Amino acid sequence: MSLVDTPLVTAHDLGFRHGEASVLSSVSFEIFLGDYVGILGANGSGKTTLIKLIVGLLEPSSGKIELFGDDPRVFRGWDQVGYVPQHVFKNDQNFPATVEEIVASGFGRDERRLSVPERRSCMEQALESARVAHVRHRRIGELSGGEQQRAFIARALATRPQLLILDEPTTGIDRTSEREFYALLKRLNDDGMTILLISHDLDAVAREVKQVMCLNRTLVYFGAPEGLHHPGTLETMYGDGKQVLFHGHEH
Amino acid sequence: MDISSLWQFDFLRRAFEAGLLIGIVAPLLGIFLVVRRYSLLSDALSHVSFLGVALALILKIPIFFGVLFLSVSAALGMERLRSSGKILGESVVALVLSGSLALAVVLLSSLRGLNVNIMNYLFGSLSTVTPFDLLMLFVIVILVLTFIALRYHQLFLTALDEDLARVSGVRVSLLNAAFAALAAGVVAASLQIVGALLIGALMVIPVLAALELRRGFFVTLVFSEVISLLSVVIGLLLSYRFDLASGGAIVLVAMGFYFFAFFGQRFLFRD
Repeated sequence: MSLVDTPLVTAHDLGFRHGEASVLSSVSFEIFLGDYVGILGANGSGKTTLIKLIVGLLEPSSGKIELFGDDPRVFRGWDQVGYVPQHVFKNDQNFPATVEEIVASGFGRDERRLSVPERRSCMEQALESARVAHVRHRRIGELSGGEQQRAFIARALATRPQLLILDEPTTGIDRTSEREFYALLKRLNDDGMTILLISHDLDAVAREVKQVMCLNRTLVYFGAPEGLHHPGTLETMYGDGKQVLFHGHEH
Repeated sequence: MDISSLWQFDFLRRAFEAGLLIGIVAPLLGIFLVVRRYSLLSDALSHVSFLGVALALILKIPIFFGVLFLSVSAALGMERLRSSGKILGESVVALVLSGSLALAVVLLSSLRGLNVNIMNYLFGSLSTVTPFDLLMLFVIVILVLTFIALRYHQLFLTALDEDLARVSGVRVSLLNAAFAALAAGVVAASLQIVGALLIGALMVIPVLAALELRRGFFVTLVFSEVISLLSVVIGLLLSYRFDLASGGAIVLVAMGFYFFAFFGQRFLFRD
């Protein structure tokens, strides 16, 4: 099996319960190198739970999840994973950190062993990739929502990971920032990075990603975005009685 | 006041040396407490350390070890309860803070013919720093400096977001426990000079003053160190000159720096 055929993330009959309530059940999928997957679903459909299971922040109640072939709780190759959690840094706008310090916090063991000029070069690449070089000395709390989000993406890119995981990255940012953000993700994916993205924005995600994963406490659909138009998919995803309007353009 | 005359007295020299060591180490830990909105931990530990004084007097064991044992145990216990999520972090701190102070007061009131000035442990004193206290403080300062130097990035990341730290491979529970134990060690070792009720303030106020300057994390840490050391030196000199409780004098000077930074930022140095 070639490297491309080896899944980066594998879920086998994955389930998670919170007390008596089932949050996710019977979820199985594989994500391969170069995939660009949008995870869609209504509030409470288990999207964030799935991401937390993938990165080992939660433990499955049933089934199995693997990250680069390992159980995430014993996985040690975190340099290969860039993670931007939901609401990161939304709590304290006075946190005393510059964008450069945020990005440097993403450096792994390998980057810390580099010489100062080499480390600077890594920093430059991450800042440039996420287009935040111009605000590198600004405090993170002084930036707009879009700039803050890009700063944390720059941090996630600092180790040049193979897999980038983003939880609701476009919440609270304006349309222009959102367009720039998706352009950045497309560029990274074109360069070979695997991207896993949670979003509420059905239109934007269906337009941008290569595959969509629809959740409603279980896996409703996983495949090309065009499949969302199949009868029953969106109804199952969002529940009966809800009409979902698909726009082919931006608002 | 002839400063050079200070060095003629061993106890004063020790007080200054101890003060400078505390001045270095307090904001190093304090900055992580403040940015994590967990400043009250230092206050809770200082109240626990007062209970440690009471227990050590009753059990007739060296006060430093009584205080160290109780503070480290309380710090680890509070961290465990906080991280379990079963009790809110602030509630844990409030419980320990009030409970330990109440117990200390009850225990001390039951002791008769006490040959110790409790005020020294509450508010600090220049004259009570022994060579042994200085040695213990030096050991703890070395431990803290080593810990911060080796774990700076992990501590920064954990302060920023614990989940982000976990997904970067940081063993957050272990790091938090080590941090809490060291904070307890600093409180125990600082008891003699700053006093149980004021050591928390020295960990927090220089950092709050430096935060007013609105810089990045490392620069804020450097400013905190400068403010803390200046507060210690000026406070101790005032304490010596006017026969004041050293802890109170140090903390009041630090408060002065805070108000200067607070109002300066808003009215003097505004862009």
